[in-house]
Amino acid sequence: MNNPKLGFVNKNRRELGMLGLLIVLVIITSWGTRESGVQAVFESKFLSSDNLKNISREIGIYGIFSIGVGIVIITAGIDLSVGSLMALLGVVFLYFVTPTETRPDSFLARIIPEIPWIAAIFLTLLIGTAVGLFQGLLVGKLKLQAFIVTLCGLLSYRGLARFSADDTSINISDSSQNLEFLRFLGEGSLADVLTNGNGSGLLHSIPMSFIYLICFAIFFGIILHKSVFGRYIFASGRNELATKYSGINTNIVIAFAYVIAGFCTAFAAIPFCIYTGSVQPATHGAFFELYAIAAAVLGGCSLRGGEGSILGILIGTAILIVLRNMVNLFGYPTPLSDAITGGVIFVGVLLDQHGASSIKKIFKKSH
Amino acid sequence: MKQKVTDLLIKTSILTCIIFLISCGKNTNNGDDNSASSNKVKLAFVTNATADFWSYGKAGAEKAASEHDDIEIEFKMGDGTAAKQREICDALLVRGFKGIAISPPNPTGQQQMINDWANKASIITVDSDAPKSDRLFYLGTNNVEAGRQAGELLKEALPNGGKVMAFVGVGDQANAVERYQGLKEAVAGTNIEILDLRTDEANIGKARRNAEDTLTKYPDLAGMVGLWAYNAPACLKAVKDKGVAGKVKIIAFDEEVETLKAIDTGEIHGTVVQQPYEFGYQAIKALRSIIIDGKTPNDLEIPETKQKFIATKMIRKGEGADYLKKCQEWKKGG
Repeated sequence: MNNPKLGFVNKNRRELGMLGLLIVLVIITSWGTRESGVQAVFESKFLSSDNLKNISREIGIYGIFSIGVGIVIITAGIDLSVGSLMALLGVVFLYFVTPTETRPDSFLARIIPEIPWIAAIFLTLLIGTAVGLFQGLLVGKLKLQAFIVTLCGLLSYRGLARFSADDTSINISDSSQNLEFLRFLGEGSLADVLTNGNGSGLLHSIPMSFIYLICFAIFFGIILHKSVFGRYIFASGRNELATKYSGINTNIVIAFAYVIAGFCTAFAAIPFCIYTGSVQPATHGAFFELYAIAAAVLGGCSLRGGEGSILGILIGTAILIVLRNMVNLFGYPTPLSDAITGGVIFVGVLLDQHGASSIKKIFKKSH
Repeated sequence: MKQKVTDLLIKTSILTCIIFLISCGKNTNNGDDNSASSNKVKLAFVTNATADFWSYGKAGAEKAASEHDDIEIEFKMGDGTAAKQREICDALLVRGFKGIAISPPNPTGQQQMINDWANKASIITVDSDAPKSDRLFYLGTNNVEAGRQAGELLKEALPNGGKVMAFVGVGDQANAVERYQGLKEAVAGTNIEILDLRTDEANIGKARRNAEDTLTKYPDLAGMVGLWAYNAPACLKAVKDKGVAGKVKIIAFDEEVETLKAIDTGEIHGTVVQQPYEFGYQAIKALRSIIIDGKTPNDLEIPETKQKFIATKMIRKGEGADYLKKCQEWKKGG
């Protein structure tokens, strides 16, 4: 019982299971897209530097806001407003960097001034964090249900984004500032940023968004798993009342989880709107909240709260993105993509909860 | 503890089996990339969103592919977002596609990504253009010309002139502006008076209300023009409701089933249709000529403007059923 290796397996059972799934996915996709012969698996289209760059860029963006949503889920809450908030912040960010005369005629377009892009990044992060704080206070302090609060957010931020953009698309190319460096920071690679777009080699295959994700993962990993505040988050999620009676202000802990989610969403919103080059407020970031929830749940977060890890969320995000990439690389019809993703998540979670034990029972009966 | 490890092993192996089955499906459905088919040049058509319109385009693209054994094509439908289109095109390029025809949902915002793709493959735009990007050329409809054709139909329907109202979803969208402009140009100098353009923000319920209100406000209305596909059927419902079907002449755009049926019964005078089948057919043909035969857009008789327009067609009484049949065949993949 005291075998430390088995202790590790037991402690990280879910993460390891999903890591297994991710590895299987990677092997199968590499095998299915290899050029020729068995040895060519390592030269497959999946493992080509272009493709690895594409998927790690997406994992970076999706991973950042999934971490925020995952932390909210650990406190037994939920955040449904992520996609809509990304659309709203996308519109706001692009308003900050484009001249007033290029914007559609709306209230928000008139009051938002054009500012240098560095200031625009900080202000966008600030607005996202403030929105998170607002939702956090409603859930943590006023004890409104998280589902309802963030559902209202989902509807109203989307509506506000569409209204403020007059339902037209806002384009980054309308900006009169030199945004080349911002583009490198958003969708470029480490080599682009270091050499101003002339880089090549390994560094060229590492997108900036993936580096941001690694930083986020390390930072929030330490907060969640190594700090006292992290323990409060888990405790509030597992049993809020007991945590409160042990002298911890759970209101603040829960509210803070939403602040983190707001910040993470705002941080992901900027590279994502650079990645798409424009924001169409009606569809920008649609269903992202559900991808984030799926990534968190796949990675071992329990919707009942009190369970989950940053590593798990990262693995969950990677599974989602690799699955989509697999569907695209295999040339399946696009509509099947979501069906396959949904199916694999379902089977994964089902097996995680019941699969193995039921199968073992069947074997035992047959003996 | 040992049980936990066994648990993990069982789960992983079951998932492996499932995913293996999925990937087997790929090999039988689409042919393995390693087989002889990899000698063929791969071309793709990526749409902006899903619509019946594009299933006709798909039929055209497949027809073009069937005429050559040195190309294979994939037809991908987007979901209306630039993000999805980027995901699809990035994967196509990784898979070694040499030419892609795309219909960008947001041409201005996607300029940069179109330029990135154009560095790796031959890119043409179809149906919606990004003129400032590095795309080779554009294939699409001339909406001003389409508006003029609607004007011609209107002149046939109302030889003595009269008051006419135009309807559209969003008034400042490029195709709405251009169609309305063409319509006004065509009827200039006649007794036909275009009253105004009513918009409904693509809300079909509101489109019908607009038509009803117009009939109430102008009892002497002689004609209605629906500039977007659903507008004419909405006008038709309002006209029938009021009992003036056939008296108030309706001119439509596109090939809605209701429109085509009503043309043969005489309740709608005629419609102007785009030719998405030709979009698909000509796009794939052009990409093949450029990539395999080494032709330039000039050789393909693409005008200096780098925009090639595919003429719209007028459908009048007696032609509705035939056109509907053709559309249904295209939809079934014929």
